[in-house]
Amino acid sequence: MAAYLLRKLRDTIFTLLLVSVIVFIIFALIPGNPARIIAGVNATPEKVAFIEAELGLDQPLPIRFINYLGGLLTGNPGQSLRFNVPVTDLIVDAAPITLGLAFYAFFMVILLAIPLGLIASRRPGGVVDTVIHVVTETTLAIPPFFMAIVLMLLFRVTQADVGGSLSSGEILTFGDHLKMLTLPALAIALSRLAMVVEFLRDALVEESHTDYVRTAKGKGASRMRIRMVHVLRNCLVPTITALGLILAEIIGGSIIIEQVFLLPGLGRLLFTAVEARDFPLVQTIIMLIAVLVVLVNFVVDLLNQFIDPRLRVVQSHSRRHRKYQPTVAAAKKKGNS
Amino acid sequence: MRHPRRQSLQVAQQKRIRYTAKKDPRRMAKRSLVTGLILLAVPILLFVVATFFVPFEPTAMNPSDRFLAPNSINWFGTDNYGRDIFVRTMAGLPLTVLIAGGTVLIGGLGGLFLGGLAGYYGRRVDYFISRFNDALLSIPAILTGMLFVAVFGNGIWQVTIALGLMFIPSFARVVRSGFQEHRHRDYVKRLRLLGSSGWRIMTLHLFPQIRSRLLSAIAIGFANAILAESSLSFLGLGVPPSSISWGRMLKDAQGFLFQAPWYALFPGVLIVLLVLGAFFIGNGLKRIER
Amino acid sequence: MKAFFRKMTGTVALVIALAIPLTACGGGNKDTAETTAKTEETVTDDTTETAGDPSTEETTVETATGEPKMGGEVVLAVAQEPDSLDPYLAAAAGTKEIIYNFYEGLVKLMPDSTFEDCLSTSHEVSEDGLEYIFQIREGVKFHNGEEMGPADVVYSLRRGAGLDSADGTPLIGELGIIDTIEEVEGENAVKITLSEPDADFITYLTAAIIPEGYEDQAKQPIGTGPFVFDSYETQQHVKMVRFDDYWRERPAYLDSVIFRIVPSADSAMVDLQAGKIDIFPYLTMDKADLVADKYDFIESDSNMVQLWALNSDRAPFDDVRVRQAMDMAVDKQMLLDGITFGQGTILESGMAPSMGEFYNKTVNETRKYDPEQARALLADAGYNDDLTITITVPGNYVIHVQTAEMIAAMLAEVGVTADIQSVDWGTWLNNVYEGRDYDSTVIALTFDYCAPSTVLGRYSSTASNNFVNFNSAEYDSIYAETQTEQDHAKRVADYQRLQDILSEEAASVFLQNPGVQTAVSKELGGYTTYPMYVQDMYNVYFK
Repeated sequence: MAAYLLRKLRDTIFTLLLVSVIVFIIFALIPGNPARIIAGVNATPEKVAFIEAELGLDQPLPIRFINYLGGLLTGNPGQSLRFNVPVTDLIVDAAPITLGLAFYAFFMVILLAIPLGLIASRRPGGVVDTVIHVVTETTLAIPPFFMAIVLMLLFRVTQADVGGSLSSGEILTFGDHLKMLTLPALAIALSRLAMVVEFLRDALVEESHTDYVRTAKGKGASRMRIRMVHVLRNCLVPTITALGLILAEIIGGSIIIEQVFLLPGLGRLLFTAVEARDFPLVQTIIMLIAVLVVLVNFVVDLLNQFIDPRLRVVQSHSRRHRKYQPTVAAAKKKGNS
Repeated sequence: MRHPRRQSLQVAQQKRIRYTAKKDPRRMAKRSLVTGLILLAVPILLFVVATFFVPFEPTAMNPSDRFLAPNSINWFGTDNYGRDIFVRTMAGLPLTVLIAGGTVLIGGLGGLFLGGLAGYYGRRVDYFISRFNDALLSIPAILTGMLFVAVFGNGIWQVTIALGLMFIPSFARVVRSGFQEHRHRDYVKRLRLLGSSGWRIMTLHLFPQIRSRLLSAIAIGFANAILAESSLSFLGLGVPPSSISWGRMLKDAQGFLFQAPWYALFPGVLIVLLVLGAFFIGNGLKRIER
Repeated sequence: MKAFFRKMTGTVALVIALAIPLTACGGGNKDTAETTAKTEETVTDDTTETAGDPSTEETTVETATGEPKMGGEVVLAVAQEPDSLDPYLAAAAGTKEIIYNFYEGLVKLMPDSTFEDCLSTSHEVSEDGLEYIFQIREGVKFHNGEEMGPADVVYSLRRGAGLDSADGTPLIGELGIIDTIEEVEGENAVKITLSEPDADFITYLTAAIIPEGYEDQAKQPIGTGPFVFDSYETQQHVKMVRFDDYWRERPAYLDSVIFRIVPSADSAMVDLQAGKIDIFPYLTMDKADLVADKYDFIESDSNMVQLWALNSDRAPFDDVRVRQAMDMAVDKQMLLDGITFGQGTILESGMAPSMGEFYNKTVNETRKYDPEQARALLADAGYNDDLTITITVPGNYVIHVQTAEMIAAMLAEVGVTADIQSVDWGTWLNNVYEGRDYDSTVIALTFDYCAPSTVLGRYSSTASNNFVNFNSAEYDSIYAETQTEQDHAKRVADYQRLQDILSEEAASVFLQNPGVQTAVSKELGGYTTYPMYVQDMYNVYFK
């Protein structure tokens, strides 16, 4: 286990390093001088040079990149070029909105997927199953922003109702936030629902064909009891896996949805940061999201191993590949028995 | 922008097939394909109609006819400039298909190359390519798209290439897992002993094995590319302003949601039809494979 | 199908994705081609008409009747995050419009483009134009309660001129010509000596006067203006409250003002519709009717010069005939109608009417929109329907993108193919503006000072900001001469001549001086517009 954790950690760090290198390479390619962008068209070259010096831009980008990574290790991603405040201050303001929205959506996915999966798996191939399949497949085909537009139309909610009040600096309670973010979160959740429902349904169907279920049935346990107690528990692995897989998309989705509802979250911050060539800010936002995604996937792995000890043996180099393997492998095992 | 799902869906699909397709796999596959084709037929038919019947220029403005609800002349109604939404939506179709096609082409070729290397050679090569894929996948694709567009500008080519690059990991994964399955098969080992080059084995022997799998990946990738392009355009990062894009139309429509709901509805519904059609065809192809 | 596609892409170019409708385009369903043909004769008329006398634009616009009331809070939307609140470090126009309310200079720009003594009570200039003596106003308090005096003036201007900094780089380039600045002994006055005469010098003295030795301007701005800085929340707002010790006869009417930073015009529209914004300065007319029930629309002339900049160092624009042909191929009236709904002034040269008497009203009345003539000129220059050029536009400025689209369509009429390349702002600044690596671009130039030299200086061949690479010996010599000219009438004549040269040589295709629309809540009065980008909240009140 310790060896596994160590290797996992190594992979994670390597992946994150690659993320930051990718961002760095892109930044090295983008034309544009942050100082000139701040100074505007009318500024004299002297003024631009002055701002450059103020911002420490007179150093070449590779050096700044290395300094940035060094700072990151000590937990200080540095100063935003555009806003002239610590990057962390900006993130602390914006992240709760984006991540809050993402987790809200995540929660909704769970809330919607479990009953849908349960219902669909009752009679595989039946009418209900087919309807749920078609509906979730359709929501998958609806771009989240269009989903948001449709929801706004349905519930007659305007952008001002959601983003307007959030960005006006009014003081809002947690309940207000919850109310305002329900629609955006629903838009994200609906368009990401399909996979979780599929995974859960398939696992449920699969499980109900296993020997122990048959045994339990033979013993006269109620159908409800079998499903809730025995089957559902065993279906957690693929479900959690699916949830882990959609997390990155949910975060990505919340960045788009943020724009639809005009929420002042990470998406907007990132837009501004890219426009202003604010290297530390862009790096930090992307790193934050990457860390989150990688971390959640790691937790998913651990959780699955905790739930289903059989999985501890199956390992391969690819993080994602391994995720499928267990279920497939487990299915194979069961299929043979 | 949701490439990771493609493969996972495939896995889900495999299992679904195991239990539902038992009944009649061929019929299920056919049904899926037919559904997909019907869905695709709607926009295609409309487009054909629009080719012969062009009542308005896509750009013709007519201030006195602003926000007309759908009627016998303006089938989809008009927008805030009095432009005909039907004609505009149809004018946006070729570009949408072109970009999605280009994206799949680039993503597919790149995926074949990287996934093939990783799957066939394994070990170090696999490790590095997989880490690279992980890195790309741990950034929401929309962010990568933003950065790409900021670097290379938002021409049609730039957007296609940016999206294509972002679709590489998902294709790479399909190819990789396919190659991995076959790499250790006896016939491959024999070929290797007989002195076949890696390139030859991959192109002549391994590639045909995954061809059908790739085909369904392409259909689903196509659907996702349409979604991705419309998302980018919706954020104002997509195609240049001189081109009509559904995503951009939706962005413009958003300001008039309650005044003219049809403005948003028609381009949106067309996106859904196209994407859903491609999804169904992809799933159908996958079922036929079995 | 092919035919359809081709047809489509041809005209699509014209108007697609215009965020502004062509409502002013003559009404009815006039085809674009038709409009192109028709507007020819209207061009000149319109120019002279709208150009008008600059004094007519000045104004404290009475948005409606009603007695000024004290109190209340106004929310104003601004598009840009401020860069620095320090008046000597702030560079972005978006910042200046906010901090205008914190700071005042020795003189103040008036709505009619003249200058009035502000923190000075009077000033005199020596014969040779090298010495300025300012009598400093008494009884003016800074926001921190300290009295403003000559020492503060000296400190502020030395800081701006870079006289105290290590390398002597002026923080405000225009103040660089200050040689010495000192208090006048025994008098409440300050004497400024210039290293060379500069007739526009007075305009630069709108530079903020700040308390001597106070270093924390960027965080906690302190000036003498009618509003005191309260707080700044990144990406949210800048808040200011009334300064009760303001030196004029009365303090500002409003209790407080919030400059809300809006991410996009779209979100501003949402806020406007919801009534969450009281003043929005960048309204496009297509959206106006959506909010007409709650807002008045105040039109003002900006000092902006929108131009289709041609790079004179690059073929084909190194050929003056080609540049002139471009000028004739562009139907400026149609652009004005299409882009700004006729709310602006057509320009033939590089200066906007808000520059007052320096503006040359009669510039180039001979060259008109004339596609035939343009074609002939192009043929003369050796191009017969085979010229392809690129227009690089900053994609974040919708109006420039639209303008480029329309220009491309007009060029097609004279057998020129124009590719439009949209780049982001940072790229534009880097490659086009600083790198001068482009064929042509569409941009609007604004000016930090209401001084003719800042407007026309950029076309002298050696200017660091001459991004169009205009090169004319005659222009250079007249411009250089007029910088030290003390005779006002001569200066006016010189500047007018410079504008003629720009037009004759077609330094670029000057398009228009776009009007600025400001939506002001019907509950407000006293909103004043200036020929610069500032938001003066001093006179604003609730009715």
